[in-house]
Amino acid sequence: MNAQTSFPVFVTAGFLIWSSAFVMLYAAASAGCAFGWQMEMVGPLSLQRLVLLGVWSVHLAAFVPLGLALRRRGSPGDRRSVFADAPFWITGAAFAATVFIGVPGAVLTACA
Amino acid sequence: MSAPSDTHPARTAGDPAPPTSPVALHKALDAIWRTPPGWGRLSAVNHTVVGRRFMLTAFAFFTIGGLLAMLIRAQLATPHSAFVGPALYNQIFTMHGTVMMFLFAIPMLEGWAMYLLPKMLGSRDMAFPRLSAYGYWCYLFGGSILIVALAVGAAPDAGWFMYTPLSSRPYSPGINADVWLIGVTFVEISAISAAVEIIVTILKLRAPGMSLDRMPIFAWYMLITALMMLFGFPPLILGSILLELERAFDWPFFDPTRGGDPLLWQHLFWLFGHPEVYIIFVPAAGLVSTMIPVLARHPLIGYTAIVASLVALAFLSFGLWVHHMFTVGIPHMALAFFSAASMLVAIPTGIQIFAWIGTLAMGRPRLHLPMLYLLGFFFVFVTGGLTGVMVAVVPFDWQAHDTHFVVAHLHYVLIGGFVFPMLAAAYYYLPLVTGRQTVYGLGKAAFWLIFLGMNATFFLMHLTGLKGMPRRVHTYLDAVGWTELNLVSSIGGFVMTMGFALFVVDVALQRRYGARTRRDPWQAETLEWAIPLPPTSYAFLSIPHVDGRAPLTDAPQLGAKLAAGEGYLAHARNGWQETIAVEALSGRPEQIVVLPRPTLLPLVSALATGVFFVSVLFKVYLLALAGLAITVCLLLAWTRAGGARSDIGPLSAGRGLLLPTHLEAARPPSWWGMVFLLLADGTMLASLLFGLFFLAVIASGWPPPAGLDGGVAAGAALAAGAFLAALAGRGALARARRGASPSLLLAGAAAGGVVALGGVAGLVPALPDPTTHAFGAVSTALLAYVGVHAAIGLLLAVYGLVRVRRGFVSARRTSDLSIGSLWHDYVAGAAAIALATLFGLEGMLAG
Repeated sequence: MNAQTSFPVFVTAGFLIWSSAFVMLYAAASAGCAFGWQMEMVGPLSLQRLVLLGVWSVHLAAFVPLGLALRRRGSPGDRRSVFADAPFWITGAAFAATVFIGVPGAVLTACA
Repeated sequence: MSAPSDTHPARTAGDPAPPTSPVALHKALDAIWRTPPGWGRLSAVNHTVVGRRFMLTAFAFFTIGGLLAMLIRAQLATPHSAFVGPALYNQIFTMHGTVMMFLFAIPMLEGWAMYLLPKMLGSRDMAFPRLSAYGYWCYLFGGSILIVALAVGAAPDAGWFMYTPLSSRPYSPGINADVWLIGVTFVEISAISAAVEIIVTILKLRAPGMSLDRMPIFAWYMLITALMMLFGFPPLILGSILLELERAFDWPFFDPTRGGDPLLWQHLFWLFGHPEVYIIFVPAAGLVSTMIPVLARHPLIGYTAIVASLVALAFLSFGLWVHHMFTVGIPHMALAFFSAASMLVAIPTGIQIFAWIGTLAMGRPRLHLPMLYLLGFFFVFVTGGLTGVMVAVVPFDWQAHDTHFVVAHLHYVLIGGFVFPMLAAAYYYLPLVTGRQTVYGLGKAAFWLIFLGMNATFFLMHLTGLKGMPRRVHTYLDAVGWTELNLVSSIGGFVMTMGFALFVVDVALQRRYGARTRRDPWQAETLEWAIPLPPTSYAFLSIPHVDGRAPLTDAPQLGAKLAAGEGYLAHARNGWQETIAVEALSGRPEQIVVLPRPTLLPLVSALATGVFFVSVLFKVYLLALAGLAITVCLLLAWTRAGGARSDIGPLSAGRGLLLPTHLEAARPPSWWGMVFLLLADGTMLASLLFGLFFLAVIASGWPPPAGLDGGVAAGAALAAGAFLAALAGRGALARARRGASPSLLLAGAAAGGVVALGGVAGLVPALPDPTTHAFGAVSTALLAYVGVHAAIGLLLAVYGLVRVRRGFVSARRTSDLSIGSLWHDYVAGAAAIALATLFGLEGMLAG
């Protein structure tokens, strides 16, 4: 796939990861509070916190292959085109948004 | 009323006779494309006519909504006001919000999109003109239900977001809430149809050479908006259906005493409701991005950054819905996720604002009237955005929630983010619509009245809110200190109304007395200014080839050349309405699309749909079923005018280009339409599943007292039937493409549909009673969803057989089968998910 034909994939992949992270963090927070995961300790962390950190980490890790694939993809002649630039910017924004969105799960009290 | 020429002949000459002159070609094309006069106007499907109707009707509803706002301000102008009583006041504020959101803002943007997009993209019409017309009539009839109810005193009165349990039967026993649920759902048919149409038009019906990165920026904005509509509206439609089922049949989706939860309604509503804010703002921002470069005389700065920010905004806007629910008792951590997303979404919006400011700073702005409105937009919208960041912060929201501060915020966002850009665009595009020059005297006075009146009304409302005045109260005591602020707000409201009245007078005068304008009076860069003014019925006499983002800047004489027939399709062939479809990414020409001519079918279909909705409203369910059946038959009748009984082969598109017609293309626009329709459909299914899991985890009264009672064999039959239909549908398509007869496999697909429906019927007795617990209600709704889809699949299989027997299918002409195959695949997937959910959840609950 060159930069043009891969455009739909790369222009959406980053924020699809963010969407998945967002939904799963909200679902895990809600389910954890409903089922009392915050009361069960796994080492120094509650099961609730462990699940949230796990969900967050997996989604952050998903950006690694995406970033590598972005670097590998072909580039059109005109470097300053939407096809060339937009996927990089969008993926970068999605990564930053995924970092930001997971912070509450790492630091806030779970079920107050 | 369809013209006989819609049925395509067996074979046409590859090259039509060249036109004798541009004038002769104009007459020939106009005879093909024009809407008939008199009663024939009811058959209009042309994008210029339907788009204009959407905008005019939306403005009529805006006037009604504005008058209701005046009644609200008259009531609140003084304490202890006896102007209207509390019951009527409830109807007035509910209808004000409902009219403005559902009957004004969304349809107005649909109208702009339909009117402008084909002209901007270098196409002669939208992808599905009859769908445009059908959507318009559904909008008009659905909106009329709401307005008639208001006139007879039976309007909705539970607030424009219809929170349960207030809107549930015990607390709203009258027909008022049903009017909202039925009327709004009817109107939303037009939103979904418009979304599908806009997406397919932008992706496929562009001028040759117009790759995605050469599209006018407005097309990017509308593409993103339409995608958001596709995913945003299904949760609302689902929520409305569920609430109507609860009110009519006592299925307790939202009843906490029987496993339901009122918060489920809030989730479904705001899953739609917050993206809706951006669905309203983004098209208006698209118009801003279109006008600013022209008015600033400088190319738009940051085209790529704006595209990237739009993609980010589209995703982020779906992560904000709970910020409308910060005070309902959700754990703080969950609130923090939504608070974070609410702050993040300000960034892409900010990028656009900086791009606009940068463009203005780099250019030489002309302070014409549209620019005045744009400056008003900047001030008002940025103010609304800043208060938006304030209410995104949870502790502040707890203080300001449900006060007039929020009312002020949302009006700054919506009037600033939608009304001001619309007014700017109205003046900017007035020469395009009317073909007349614009004089700005009255318009400037109207601007200042609207701008000052708006700020007087709503800026002070921030203060009234901070002083503690709640929303939706019909009166207040003098002693609480809100009197002066409310009085000035009311005076401001009336000043703003005078401004809008002056705007109407101004536009009417301009249209009546304005001098004729020349083509492209703004020296703009986009293709809508390359057509004759006012627009002809066919828009482009010949279709351009596009080599850059600013075709009129690159070739200032492009309009004249196209009018001389120097582009594609400069002919009138077979009485066909022809335009070109391109490969979605590259803009490489791909097919000649032959569009349908004017027909009464959309109007008649919408009337039959109206019979269905009105019958449901009055609970005459047999008549509703009849209305539904007639609607389905009429929608199938749309296909009678299309198709060909023999292969046509490649045809000349002019300039040496040979293209197949869409009838012989592997993926015609209708195939893409089905893809996007199924995405919306899938969102509805996902919303229903979300509802089930939400109730199972959050609601009280779970696990349910009764689960599934057997049903394994019936479930297996449903799965087997659905997969048989999908496999047979694929096989039929493959055989047809090889030139073999697909009839036997289509019969297999139909048989699969029958088996699947049998499985659904067999599962019904296994489900718990839908009135005793929410699990029974949701699982029955889930099964009904699959059953309806399986029935449509059966219909499509039989339809495919009929089309094959009548000669409409060949190795080249397979679109009837490929669309059916898509549907069968979806039904198989939906059945598998539904069965896995039902039996999986049953197992978990039992465990």
